[in-house]
Amino acid sequence: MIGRRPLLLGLSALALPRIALAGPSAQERKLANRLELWGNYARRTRNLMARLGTRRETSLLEEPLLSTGTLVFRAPDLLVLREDGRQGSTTLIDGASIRLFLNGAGQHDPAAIDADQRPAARWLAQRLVRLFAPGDGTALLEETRPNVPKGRGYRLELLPPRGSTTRRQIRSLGVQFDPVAGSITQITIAEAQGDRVVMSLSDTRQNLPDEDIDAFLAQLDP
Amino acid sequence: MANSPVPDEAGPVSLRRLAHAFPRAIATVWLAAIVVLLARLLGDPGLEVSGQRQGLLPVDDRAPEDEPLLLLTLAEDTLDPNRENSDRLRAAAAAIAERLGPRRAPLGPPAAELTAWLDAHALYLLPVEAHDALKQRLDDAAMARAIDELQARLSSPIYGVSGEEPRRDPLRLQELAQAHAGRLTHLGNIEDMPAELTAAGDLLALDGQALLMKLRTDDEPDALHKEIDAVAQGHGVEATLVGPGPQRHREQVALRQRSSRLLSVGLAGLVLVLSLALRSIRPVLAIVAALLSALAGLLVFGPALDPLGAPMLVLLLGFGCEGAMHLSRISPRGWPAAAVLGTALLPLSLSPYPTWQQWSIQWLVGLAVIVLLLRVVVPAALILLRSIPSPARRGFRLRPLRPLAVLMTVAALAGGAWAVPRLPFAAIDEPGAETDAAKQVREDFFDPRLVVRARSHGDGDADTLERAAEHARRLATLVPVDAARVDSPGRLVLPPGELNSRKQSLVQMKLAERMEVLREQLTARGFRADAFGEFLRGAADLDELPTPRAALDGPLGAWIDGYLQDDGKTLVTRVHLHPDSGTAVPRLEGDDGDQLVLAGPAVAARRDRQGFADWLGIYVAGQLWLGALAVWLSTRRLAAALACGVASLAAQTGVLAIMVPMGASLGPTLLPALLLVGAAAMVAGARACRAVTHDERFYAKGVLMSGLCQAVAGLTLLATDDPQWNAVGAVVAVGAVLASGAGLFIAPGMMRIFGSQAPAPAPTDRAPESSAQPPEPPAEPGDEPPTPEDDA
Repeated sequence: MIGRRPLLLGLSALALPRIALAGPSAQERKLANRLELWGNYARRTRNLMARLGTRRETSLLEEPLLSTGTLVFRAPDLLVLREDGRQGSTTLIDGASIRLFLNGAGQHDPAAIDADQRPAARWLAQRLVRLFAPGDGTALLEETRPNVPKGRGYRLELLPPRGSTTRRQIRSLGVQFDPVAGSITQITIAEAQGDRVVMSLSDTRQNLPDEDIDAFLAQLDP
Repeated sequence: MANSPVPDEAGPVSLRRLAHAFPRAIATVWLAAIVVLLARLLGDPGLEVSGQRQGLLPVDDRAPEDEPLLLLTLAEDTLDPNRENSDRLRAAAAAIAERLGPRRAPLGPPAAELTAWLDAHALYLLPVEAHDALKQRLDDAAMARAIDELQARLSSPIYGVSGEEPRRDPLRLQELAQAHAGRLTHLGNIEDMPAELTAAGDLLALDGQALLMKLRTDDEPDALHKEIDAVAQGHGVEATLVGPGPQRHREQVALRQRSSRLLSVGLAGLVLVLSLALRSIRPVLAIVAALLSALAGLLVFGPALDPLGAPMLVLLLGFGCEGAMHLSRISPRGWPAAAVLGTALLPLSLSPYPTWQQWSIQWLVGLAVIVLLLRVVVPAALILLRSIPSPARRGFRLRPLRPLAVLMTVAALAGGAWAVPRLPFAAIDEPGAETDAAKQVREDFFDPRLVVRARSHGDGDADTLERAAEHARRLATLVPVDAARVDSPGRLVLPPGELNSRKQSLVQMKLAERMEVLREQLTARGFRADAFGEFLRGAADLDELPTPRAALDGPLGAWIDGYLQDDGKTLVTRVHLHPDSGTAVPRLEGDDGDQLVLAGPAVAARRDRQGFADWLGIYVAGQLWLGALAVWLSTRRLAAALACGVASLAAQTGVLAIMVPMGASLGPTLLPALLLVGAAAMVAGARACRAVTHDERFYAKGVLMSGLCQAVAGLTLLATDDPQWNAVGAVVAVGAVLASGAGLFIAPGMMRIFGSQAPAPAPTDRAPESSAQPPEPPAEPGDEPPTPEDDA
């Protein structure tokens, strides 16, 4: 497993033009390029709201499960993924708290799932929050092995560190950026068991009035 | 004998007369005894050293020493960022397991086999109380709702890592088990602990950099470690043994290393103090030789030296110096002081601490031996060496100050009352010094000190497992308030009676039919019913019963064997308590009304904590009573006995008050130190009362020889690197000073308050007084001071 300190030192070195002149590899240049693109957008984020289309490919179902909803982020560490309709579910990540509940039951439903104690859930939740939180990329890449996949598009892949038990449940977290604005357009979670979740973001609005965010959050309790 | 400062007026039985009558014979016997003792100590087997730190725990509550844990870690410089480092740990664990064979035991059940068992018997493992709720969940509408909810949760990106396992439990029926009987749990259950179970039954830390194995062996820890290390090094892995057995071995080594330094520092201090007091080197050397011979005798004839006993021996030497007081003619009789000091620890024979029970007698014997040597052998040796110590001089008249005595007493008692609730409690299960490996085990896996055991007995393995199943269900009620997990194979099986009642109840639910409906509903909602095949088949099949025999004969049998003892007649259930040590473990009763006894260091520590304050009072009261009785027997003055008791209590409470700013903790390890402080104050008080009562001079040399020798013993312990010894040493060092002060300033004043008024005329008062009988010093070195009593 890559130690946190060498990793961060290495990555911060990428951000330094002086070091860049020394000749980073193509992979490192691409990573720095993605982070710069992402950072230009993310560092302005106070809050964010986007339409969310989710597609889960799983062996439990005959066909992929499709759903629509809303994604809301509020700095520093609140992220809500809410499926449309009372039959849907909501994922609430608030700091260290990770909760999954049914829309009709509300966030205080005793049958809700608390995943705070699960290392893999913590790892994934932190990465999801940090994807939208303002920062220079250091926090985003913490406890990950970054990779820039080959192919077209501005994409970044975050893998759990080697030796981590998170790897037994999550293979990778992929992100696709808008090549112009730098906003996130797609997040792909590859689970170790074979399931794959693709979240497409559209109509992304940054820094809305606080009242709009408050009004959305008020819906979480029916 | 003309130069002897001791008048030849002893009674018919006199140690002094004996020493003076047969000095050569006594010295010869003593030297012969020393030769024998040295031969025994220096020869084979030599000094027996035990590293037993669990001496204060009742034997049944001690952690087993034959079940050490083995921690495998990766050296920092061998970490390879480009490969899975935990693979090296697994490979090393496999190689070590192969090497150790049956000496290695799995910590948890084999994961695949456990999952298969649970899936096959999921509904049987639900308690009957949950069957109404189960019936409701198997209703058509409820099942449809559960499938819809599952579909809704599936759209969450975190669902896959939420811990829910829809393939095994699409209807979330395990919630019913949690609500009714606590969690079915085991070591390596990811919900309970930050580690995962490997396929081999070991525990792997979540960061993949440490692996924990369990061993079951009586092998010598050093040899065992060498054997394991040879295998581990081949994989670039560091292996460390953790547990009471290895700790005992480390303590043994440390104690051997410390003992010579402890002895030299202690003796150097005593030599310094005695030299200052006696102003002559030959008596000092004779005293030290006598102390060493007594120490050798205790080491040879006493129990093996252990980390609790070593400081007691140091204190014994320091407090034993009181017996040399007669050389300065301050305490010619000596038996009252010896009685007060010797019986100081007798109240601990009532305590539940085996080592202190043993020391309550050993202290008495040891002090008696030292006093005997100092009163018989030393005078005989000094006669042969033609060395006569000079008597005490320049005494002063002690004036009792009643207001000062009252003020000091009230201040000390108030200070003690203020201190007791503020002093942190040092529990008996706290280790002396925790190693890095033990700390890592506690942080990355579980705390072995919190593991307590319950034993189930039966006629054979199946019968025993059946009993354990009943007990496990009782023990499960401790989760989650008192315990974190109940680690028992009994949770996986059911006794026949329970099994039949559950089967009858389940048969009425027509499970096969219900599962068919569930299959149809899953299909109708787009699910692949085959993905839930294990659940559907397992729930519908009521013929496969979770009986003890089936478990023992199945793939879980090898794991269950690890819990069985005595040829299958005993099964040990391990309960992992919560770290909160403030609450006692509740009493549990079996179905037939018998007590379900939990035993372990944590249980004993909690039980001890509950009653410690009360018992501390009883021990102190016992020591005060015994000491006051000795004072009364020697003085026949109730006022003096009461006053000495007050001084003693004031010294003890004063020490408690001073322990608060010192940041010290109060616990069973300090009990002897506290009682000895009380005894020291009692002796000093009796001596001061005697001087006041007889209107005699009071000699500072007495304080120097008794108080400073005691303080030196404490300071010797303070100079070591053992935290427990440091605490004992600090209490004794501070307490010795306070005891002298309390004896000097409190006892005489309180004696006046309690009724003893005018000084008794010394020449006519033949009543035996306290141990302190400082005679008037002679005007010239050769003059004989008046000595009212002689040895009894």
